[in-house]
Amino acid sequence: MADDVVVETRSLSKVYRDFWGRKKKTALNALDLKIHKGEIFGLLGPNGSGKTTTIKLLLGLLFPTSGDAFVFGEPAAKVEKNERIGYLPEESYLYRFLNAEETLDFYGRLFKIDPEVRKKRAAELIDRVGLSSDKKRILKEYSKGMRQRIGLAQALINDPDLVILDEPTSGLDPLGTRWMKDLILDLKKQGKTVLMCSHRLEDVQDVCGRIAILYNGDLQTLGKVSTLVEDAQRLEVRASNVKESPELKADLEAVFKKHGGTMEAVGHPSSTLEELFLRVIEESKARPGRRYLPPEEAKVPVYGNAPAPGPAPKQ
Amino acid sequence: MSSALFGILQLDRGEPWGYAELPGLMQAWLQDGGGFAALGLVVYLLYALSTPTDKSQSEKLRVPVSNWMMLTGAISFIFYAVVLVLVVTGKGGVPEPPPPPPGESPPVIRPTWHNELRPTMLMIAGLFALLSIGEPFARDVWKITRRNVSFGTGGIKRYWRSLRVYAADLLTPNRVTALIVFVVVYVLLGVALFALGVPRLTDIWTGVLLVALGVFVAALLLLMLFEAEGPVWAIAKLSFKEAVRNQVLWIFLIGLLPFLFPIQWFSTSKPADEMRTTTVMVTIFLSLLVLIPANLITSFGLAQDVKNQTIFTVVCKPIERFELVLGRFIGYLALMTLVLLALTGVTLVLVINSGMSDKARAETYKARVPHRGKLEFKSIVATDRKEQKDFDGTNVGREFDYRKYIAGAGGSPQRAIWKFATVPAALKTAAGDRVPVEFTFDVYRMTKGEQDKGVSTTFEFVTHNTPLRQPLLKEIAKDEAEWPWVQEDKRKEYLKAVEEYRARGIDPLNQDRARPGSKEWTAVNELAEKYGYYRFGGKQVLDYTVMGVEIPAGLFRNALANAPQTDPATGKPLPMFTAYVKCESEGQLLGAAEPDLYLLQNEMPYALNFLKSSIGLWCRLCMVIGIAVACSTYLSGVLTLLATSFVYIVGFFTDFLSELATGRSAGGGPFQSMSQLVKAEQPTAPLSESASTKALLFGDKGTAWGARRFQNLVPDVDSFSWGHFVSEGFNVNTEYLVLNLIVTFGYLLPWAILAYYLMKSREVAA
Repeated sequence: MADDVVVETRSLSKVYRDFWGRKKKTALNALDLKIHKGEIFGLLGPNGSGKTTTIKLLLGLLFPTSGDAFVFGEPAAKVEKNERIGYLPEESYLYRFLNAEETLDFYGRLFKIDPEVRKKRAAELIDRVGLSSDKKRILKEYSKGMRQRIGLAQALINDPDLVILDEPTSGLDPLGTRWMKDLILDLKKQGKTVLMCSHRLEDVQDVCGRIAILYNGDLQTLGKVSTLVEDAQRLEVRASNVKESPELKADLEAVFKKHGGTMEAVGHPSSTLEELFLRVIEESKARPGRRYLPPEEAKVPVYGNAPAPGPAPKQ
Repeated sequence: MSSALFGILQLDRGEPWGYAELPGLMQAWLQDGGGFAALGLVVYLLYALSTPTDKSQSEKLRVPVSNWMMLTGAISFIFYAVVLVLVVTGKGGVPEPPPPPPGESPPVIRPTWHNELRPTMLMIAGLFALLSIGEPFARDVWKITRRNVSFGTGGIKRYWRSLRVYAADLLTPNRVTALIVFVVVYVLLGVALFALGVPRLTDIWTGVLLVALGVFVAALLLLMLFEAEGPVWAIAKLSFKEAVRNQVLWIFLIGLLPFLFPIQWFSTSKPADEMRTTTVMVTIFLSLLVLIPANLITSFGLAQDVKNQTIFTVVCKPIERFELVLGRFIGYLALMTLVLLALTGVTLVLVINSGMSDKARAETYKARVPHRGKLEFKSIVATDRKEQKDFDGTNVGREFDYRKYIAGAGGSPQRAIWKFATVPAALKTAAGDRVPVEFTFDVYRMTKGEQDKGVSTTFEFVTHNTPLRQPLLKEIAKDEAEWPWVQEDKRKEYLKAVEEYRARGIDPLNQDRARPGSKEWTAVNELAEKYGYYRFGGKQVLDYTVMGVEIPAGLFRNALANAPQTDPATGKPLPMFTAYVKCESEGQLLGAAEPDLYLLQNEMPYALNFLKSSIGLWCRLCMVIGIAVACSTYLSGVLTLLATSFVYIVGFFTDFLSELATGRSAGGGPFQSMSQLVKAEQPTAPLSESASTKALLFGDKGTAWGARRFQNLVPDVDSFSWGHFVSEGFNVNTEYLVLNLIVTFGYLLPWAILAYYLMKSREVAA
């Protein structure tokens, strides 16, 4: 196994059987996959396609029917490999009778982290996920988004080299989603490897470098996001400070015709709903009590970096 | 074969077992535990065969089959094959004990080491099977121990740092304030009680304070232990917190706590029985208060972890799965131990400070250390009878034939005889030169008798130097039936010595004057030391009441002066000391069982005994939590609760199980019973010699075999219930206590191995 390969599966298969050993479903079929150090890898697919099964096989929560899985070159069944893994499950399956501090302390102790380091790291993570003011509340009282945040904190308590995120934006509002995506990108900057699976394709597209698409347990496609989504047959031109007019359309049509192409459409591009939402919230924070003004009225550019989110909303 | 460490200890069914039974118990444990291990090994190897261990490195790690396993497993199966051959050929077996007389239950067989070939082979086979299946378990336990226990300098330093951090977290201003307020309020309450001068409430106040301090210190120590480095302690702490924050425990405690109060506070009982009844009731409720919540909390702990999928975030950390099991066990056990400690303490304080009658205090507010002998019933030499059968006690027709009876009359030669093979050396120098002999007899009246008067009873105590013999019919007079001395000359000498004392104005046979401390008592001691004989007559014995006589310590100086001679009749050494009991009252019968008479070696405090008895409850607590944790590795919470309850409740019926397992139950096994039901035959009707009957009996043998295996899974709950020791005022001896702790460990070990494999093979996310 090459040094920079963090996760590798070799013909990894999983068949679910009933009590009598009869086959119920092939959840994963001969998956061959390599995830390299420092990349953000996305597993995509509809429900039941085998994404979560793959993750659970890598973590040893399930046992393969055939094939093998390796993490950091070690077989998936070897518990020592878990020292370097952080895992955020789809639902934040944490002990609801513990508060945030106790939760992180408990998971930190499973890694045998030094008590002082553990305490310091727990405080940092609680702050990082925006739960400082709620750290003494038991998790039972948390909203789903807050639980997802503390779940992420527990996944990072050991400062892992590989972070496995199962539907990380599930249950998060757009602010939280953006925050999560930024955090994932931040992890990449720190040189960590991230494996995530999600239904929310736009999230995957925003953060993942490579993806694998699964369907019915079979790997359908694998590659760089940019390559996979690129439409090489078409060209997009964007311009600013130009008013839309029939003359402009005619001129552009002539230019494209000259180069052997056909113009398809001319019009104003639209931003995503997520960007609009974030802008509205940011505006509301900046100018409390005043209604949001659309960009043409406010004279602000539509495109640009979205602001960082504030503290987690309380329920 | 005797019962195994898996749980059969007999108590009411005989003298408590001691270290002498340990080798036999170990042998039986290896045989039974080894049988389960062999079965487990077969299942494991089949599982390994169905797992792609050859193609997947992960699976090879998960389901290891080492050379050691294969080698020891093969040796084990070879020995099992030898055992099979021996069974088929009918050789090398343990001789069957003789069947009990009709109508009597079979005697309890004490576990003994068997040197015969079959049990030896079975034991070796079991040992190798355990070594085989236990290899991955032992390896992982060793690994876990190294991860969780560190006595090195580095480990201690880290632990110290951990404690510092924990203390800083624990001692928040709010907590410290609450503690101070609580202490101040409690002290004020104490001051008020002292000022008002209510001694009993003040004593309770002091007692509760001591208990609270004890529990506080114990809790602190446990919490400090949980701060040790390693996942097991982290999980134990988590389980502890989970159970504390779970309302089940507190609801039970609040609901049942009043029942721990002394019974006379809300019910009445005979004055002499006040302490007895109270102790019985509080120990029962103590058991309920501890065991039911323990079962509820434990059954749903790990099972809910799996159901709620919280286990996902735990097992994907660098921990062995058995660490999870171990942590859960330790956490729940720690909490419930604290609960047990607190409840025992508070109960004890309340019981000690309850008003009780002097009778109750005299009978049961103590912990006697008895020295027991073997009981036999004898009468005249049965030479004149056709069957030549010795008298063996009279059965008065009571359903429960625990006691046998001797008929009362001046001329009755019937005796209840307790033979003591040994006597403690300390009795030679007993305080006051006297040794109490206590007894509780059952009086079975054939005539009305006199009101409030017992039956007249005579006691004769002799040492091996002064044996008595059974009288012949011709030696019996109508009004007197003494058992003659074997050495008639010695008797004459004895009587002469008595007369010499009388000549000096000291009558050693005057029972009223010969009391400890008197000059007569000195004479009694001198006579006893010289002649090894003491007689106490006319003792009025009341029905089922603890009574006693004091005998001179000189008897024991006589007994221990030289080794006993061999009895020519039996070829065995004579008993060091023998007590003969004769009922003098005409028309009355005196019933006795072996534990009914004993030498009172010592008396210990009641409170200490009560605390010791709670160790028996602690053993049961370990078992309940152990079974529940093991079951919850595979079953859901509800099923675990049911399974644990089932195993525990069946544990109350080990006697019946034992009868079923040994094929001694009345009416045969289930197949025979079913046949008799269908044919409307009596259970006692003789069986026909038909092929169908043989088939039925074969089926019953199979059932008995199954029952025997099942019996091993079930703990003998009664043998760990020591409340009756305390309620009857008898000391729980240390030997018995230690043996039961070993038995508990022996019982839990196979469950731990089972839990290990179940947890390891479980796909928690499936």
